[in-house]
Amino acid sequence: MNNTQKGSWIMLAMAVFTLAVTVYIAFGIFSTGQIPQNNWIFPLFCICFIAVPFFLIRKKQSSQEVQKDERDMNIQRNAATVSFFSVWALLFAFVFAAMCAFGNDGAVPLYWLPLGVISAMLISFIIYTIAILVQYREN
Amino acid sequence: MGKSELGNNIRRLRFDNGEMTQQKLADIAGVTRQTIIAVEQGKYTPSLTLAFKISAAFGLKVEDVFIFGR
Repeated sequence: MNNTQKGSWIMLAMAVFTLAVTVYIAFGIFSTGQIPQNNWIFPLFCICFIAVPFFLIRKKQSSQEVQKDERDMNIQRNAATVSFFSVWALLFAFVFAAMCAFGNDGAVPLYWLPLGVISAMLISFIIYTIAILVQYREN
Repeated sequence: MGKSELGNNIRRLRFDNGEMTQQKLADIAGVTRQTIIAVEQGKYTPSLTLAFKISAAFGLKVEDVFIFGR
């Protein structure tokens, strides 16, 4: 497993964790009308983000060993393309779903907009990491 | 990306060159060992530059290392 793969697994775990926290907070806002007060979320977030670089440390097998090459860059470029189109597809789906649900004269709370954008970004990030891992598995 | 149309003799050439390791070939070609594995297995089609570098590592021409349509 090279650094890009390793990084993708870690980013995937982090993105899923962040998405889960976002969903938890959004659910709290919807059900109680306020942000849930939990003391464990912020420290856990900090620990995860501080610990991440340590997982990426890898001993080189030789002094000339390359960390990234053309194949890695091709894989990342393809994944970025998939991710870019997925952001637009997700935002379109979000807007279209809201329009269908509330109709032409309906209104949505303003905080739905950043929540929708953040969720779309997070999901597209997850798609990016999955696309990288799938491509490494296939070729 | 499916199986490459480009065949190669890298595995045989490595053994003919004093059992050269994949890591050693990767270091000479300036790529990762995973890329050499993928090229060797025909899963990844290398760029022209990489094909030349791999061929140069064995002191051969590109057409002696890579075979089209195998």
